[in-house]
Amino acid sequence: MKQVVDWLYSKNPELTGEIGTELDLIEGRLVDSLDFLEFIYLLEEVSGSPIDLGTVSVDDFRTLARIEERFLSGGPALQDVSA
Amino acid sequence: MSTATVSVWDDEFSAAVKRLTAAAENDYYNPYQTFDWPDSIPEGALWMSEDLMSVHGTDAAAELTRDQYLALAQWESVNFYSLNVHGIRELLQEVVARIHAPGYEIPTPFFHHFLGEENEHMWFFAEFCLRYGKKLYADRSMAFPAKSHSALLDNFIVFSRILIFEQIVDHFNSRMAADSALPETIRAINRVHHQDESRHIAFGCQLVRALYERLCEAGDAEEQAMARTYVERYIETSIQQLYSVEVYRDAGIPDPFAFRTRLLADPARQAAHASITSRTTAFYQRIGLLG
Repeated sequence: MKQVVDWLYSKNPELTGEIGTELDLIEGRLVDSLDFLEFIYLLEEVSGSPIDLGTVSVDDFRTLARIEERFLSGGPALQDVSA
Repeated sequence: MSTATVSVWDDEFSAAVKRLTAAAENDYYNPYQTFDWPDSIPEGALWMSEDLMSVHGTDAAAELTRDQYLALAQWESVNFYSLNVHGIRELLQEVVARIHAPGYEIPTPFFHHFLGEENEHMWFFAEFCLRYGKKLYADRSMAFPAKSHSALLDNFIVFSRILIFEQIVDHFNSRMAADSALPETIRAINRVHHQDESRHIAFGCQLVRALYERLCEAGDAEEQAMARTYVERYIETSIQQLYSVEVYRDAGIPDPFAFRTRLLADPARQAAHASITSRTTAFYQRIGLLG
């Protein structure tokens, strides 16, 4: 999950605070459709599994908690990660 | 779907619509009877112009075996046409949502030709992928809820996406149509698409120019900045799409994620990116959006 959080900070350099696990990343514009290809590749690389976009929805990318549950389960338990 | 007002379309745009509509009628052809579809692409042939491949000019290219290099050309070719199929699906949806809608009376005559021709382009690109690659690469895009803004900016973004997509594709089409190193089947689909796209790009340039002029006249500096940022980011995203992990995997390249990251970071690729986007950059500079 640290790689995902680091990516979010790299894409949003103005962001200084903590990214909470329930923060709405889409509503907060931390990730948008133009970032999506890079984001999906990151998740696939970290998880080691391809993601079939026919089986997921926008809501699966909405929070770190949901991303962990949906794509990174089996990894370490999710915790808030500060910059 | 947002609507435009008739006042968006100036005399220059109206004249272009009439000229391009007449040209589309005169140049009409039956794509389903235009192409020869041989049983296969010759063994050992290049499927993509070497200078358009994502490894061109990099040290990574020299590290590939000949078999990997040819496989990469093959799958990058299939990926390019797959991107076309997915891009056309998106632009068809946007234009269908606007044709004969209030405010689109002026561009609608050309929208009819645009929709018909783009449907045909989607057919022959998909036909190529399915005949010779036995698959289409999946669409890796997802539409997120957009920030609310004016109908004018919404239209500017939609038609800029279409124009940028078409201009980048045309860079590849014109090069591959002229590349005698490629099999005739590949040259032909690129040649035919290039011929049709010249009208679509001319139409798109006029449409985006008119929308941007109205956006500037509206005087909202924040929306003008959003338009500029969106175009810059969409160009970058369009380049990133050309570097496909799935393609590198199909070409037998170990660690395709690291390979992709390495290529995107390679300074040698910057000149290629500038070449691919030069027409787009020049257009947006000409209308005053990019400095």
